[in-house]
Amino acid sequence: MKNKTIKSYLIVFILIIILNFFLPRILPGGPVAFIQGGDDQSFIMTEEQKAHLLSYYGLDLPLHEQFYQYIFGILTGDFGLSILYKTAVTTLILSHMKWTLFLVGIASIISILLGIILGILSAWNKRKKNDAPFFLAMLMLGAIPEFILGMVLLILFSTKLGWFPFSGSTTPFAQYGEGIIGIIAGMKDILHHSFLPMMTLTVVNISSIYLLMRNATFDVLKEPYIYTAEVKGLPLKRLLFRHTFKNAFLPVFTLIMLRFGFMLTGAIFVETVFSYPGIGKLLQEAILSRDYPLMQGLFLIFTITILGMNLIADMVYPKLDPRIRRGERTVFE
Amino acid sequence: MRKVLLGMIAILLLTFMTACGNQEATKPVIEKSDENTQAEASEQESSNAEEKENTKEVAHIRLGWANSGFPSPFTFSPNGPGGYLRTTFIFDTLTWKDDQGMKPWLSEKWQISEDDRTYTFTLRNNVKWHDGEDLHADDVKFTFEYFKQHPFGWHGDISMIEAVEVVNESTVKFVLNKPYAPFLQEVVGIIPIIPEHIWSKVEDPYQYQEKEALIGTGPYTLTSYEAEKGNYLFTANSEYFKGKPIVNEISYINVKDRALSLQNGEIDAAMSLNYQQMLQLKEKGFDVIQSKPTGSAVRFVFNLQDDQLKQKELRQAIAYALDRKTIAEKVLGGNEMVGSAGIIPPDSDWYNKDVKQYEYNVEKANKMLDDLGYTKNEDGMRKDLVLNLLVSSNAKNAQLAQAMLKNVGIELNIQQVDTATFTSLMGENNYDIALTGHIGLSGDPDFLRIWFMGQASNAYAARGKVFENERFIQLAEEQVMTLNEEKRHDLVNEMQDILAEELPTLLLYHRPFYWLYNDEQFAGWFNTDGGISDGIPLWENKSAFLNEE
Repeated sequence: MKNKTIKSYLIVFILIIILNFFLPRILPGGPVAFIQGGDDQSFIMTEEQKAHLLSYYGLDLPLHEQFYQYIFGILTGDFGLSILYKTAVTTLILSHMKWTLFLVGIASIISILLGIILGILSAWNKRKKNDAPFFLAMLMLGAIPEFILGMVLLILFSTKLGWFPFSGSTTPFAQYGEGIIGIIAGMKDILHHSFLPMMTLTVVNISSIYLLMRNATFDVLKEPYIYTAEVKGLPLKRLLFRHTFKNAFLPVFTLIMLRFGFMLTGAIFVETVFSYPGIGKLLQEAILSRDYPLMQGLFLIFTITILGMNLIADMVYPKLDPRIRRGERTVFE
Repeated sequence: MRKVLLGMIAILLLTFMTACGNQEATKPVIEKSDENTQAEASEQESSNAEEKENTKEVAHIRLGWANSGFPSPFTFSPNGPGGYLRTTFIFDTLTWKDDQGMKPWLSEKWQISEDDRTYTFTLRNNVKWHDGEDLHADDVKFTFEYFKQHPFGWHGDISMIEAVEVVNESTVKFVLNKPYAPFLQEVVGIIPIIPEHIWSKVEDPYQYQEKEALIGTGPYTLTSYEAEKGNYLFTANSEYFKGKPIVNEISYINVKDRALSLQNGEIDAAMSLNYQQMLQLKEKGFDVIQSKPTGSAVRFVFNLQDDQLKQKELRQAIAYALDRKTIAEKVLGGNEMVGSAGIIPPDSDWYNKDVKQYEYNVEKANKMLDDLGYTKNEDGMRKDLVLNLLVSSNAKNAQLAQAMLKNVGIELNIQQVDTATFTSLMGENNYDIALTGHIGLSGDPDFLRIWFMGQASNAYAARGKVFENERFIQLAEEQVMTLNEEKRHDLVNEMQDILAEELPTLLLYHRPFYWLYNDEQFAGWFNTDGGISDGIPLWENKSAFLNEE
């Protein structure tokens, strides 16, 4: 059973590696077409310059040789040189990754916690038939695309009120000073820059967890053992957050793991709106400029994260649910 | 659980607190400029005689531009002129331009041989690299040989250079394989001179991003480059051969909207394309310079291989049918300048004032189309005349043009794509009309040759599909070899006549740029005569930051 799971993961992984190579090349135009510039560009390239670029990046090689180089690169951990930035893809991704992990990590934690708490409370109130307005509000919140919410927040708080900066992740060239004061000043600066994008991500992500938690809790609340507990006169907090939560959390757990998997890709729009230097913004630039090596590197990172999280969920789930462990149920019902 | 929750709330509170104390975060930079204005004030009091504002010392100027990579001559991104521009702060060229036009820079003087094929430059003798070494003629020779092996990723075609010879330590001779009129301005005025003692050891310059890659002779050195954020900080080179720059630090911040950031006080000067926006900011107290000559234009490129568009009369009818003044006004917000049919902007020295122009005339357009045999059906549309318009980022122009052409019965389908797709479709000749913006018309007129001779591998050129007009080709080749200005003017005038009659491309309008700044802080900005790097209207000319006689 376990071997079978790992085998299917491996097959998916190999397929994705192959797709990774071909997808960027299916897009019309290549990296050199981008450098030549379509519109509002001021650079006039000569034929010699073009030929040199093509051969430097190996884009004049037959496709199968490019593919061979790509596979060889993956095996040796070398993703090549970004055409847009002329920097090693690995270096580029690592330097942008920290910002995305910070932004999306904190936003995910907040949205998961709030989603769970609000979901439980909402389900309790639903039983009393008075959570409808709140439920509707959350549904609406969940329907707002992140870039629109981001834009609204940006216009309101940065343009109109001037409370937050327009873009970036820190004040340019800021010197925070030494010691503890410097560290605090640095943290303040980083939080100040990340506040709006973090808010946006938190708000748009809250509702799916909330909705699932609410439904799961509501189902559990119907169980006879809850009725017993209630009749026993258990305090409400204990009833909800101990007895109910434990069982209602199971389906939510899978969603959370998926959420973490999509953590890296989820921020593409938000990072673009706020010009936040994470890998989402990097991906947007890579696609626009047809930067094949950078696109391949990023897609691969996304693939590994998403597959990895799924794998972890598959492995941890039985530990959380004794029924699966005992073989009474399976993960894939 | 409860602890985590408390922690989260604490973080939220902390974030709110930082939000309220936001001024502090941006303080480091602002404080500097405050000190600076105070310093300026006291300086002015002490020496009232110094009337000229250019001589005031400025501690820091913040400018905005997108990220363009590590600023070495081999690694900057050619996506927009910002990358090249920033290398010019660190590296120098043999000649340079300011508001008066071309002037000697690393070279002191030069001689041109009788046959216009040999240029002998005498170098300045007090020039030092940032690492303290002296600049020699060998470095110049090395530079051009190195760039032959490792092509420069920007303008500055050097294929006409046959040989570079070192005559003595401060004299260097260029031998060309044919006379090349823009040589002084657009070849040795663009190619940055690099130190032999560094680059001779570098095998792959496109991956070389060490500190040494930024050793030039220029007025600034790079103090900090925040790679993933795209911010650059330059510091004045106090040993500069033209004296220490008056602006001590220049930072480039990767802002999204320069005009908006200017208004918000994130940067100190910015460019705007929109007349209304310029007026708004002017009202807020900013000073304005308008680019002159107008180095940018928006235009239609006609596919001359297309069965219908190869008819000259059809292209002319389209020119008559478009109310280009209105398009310009709607897109730019005013101060419009209708595109010259001869391409060179009317405010340029190279403009031919007798060139044929096409006024807005629907009647004439309709008549020409009728004469061509495109009859209107009962809906007023000419069913045989359905054209595709390829657009990348200038969509607003396309919609206006669509409505105007419908007026004369031409159906225009707009096809909007991204940059790379645009270029590749043009390369495959897979378009009817393409709408494109272009920067770089304010300098040497040789761009007319480059655009239409199919030699440039570029979306603006006919992409290898040469504009097959014998007389034009002859003129284009002759003007680039003609160093006599008067003679060259005659040739370029005739080229404009041919372009205006044949209309391989139709300029919708010329597009002025506006530079917005605060003259209390720094008033030294000027329009570079001939533009920076082959006619690009930019104000961040390093010459503005120097205190020259």
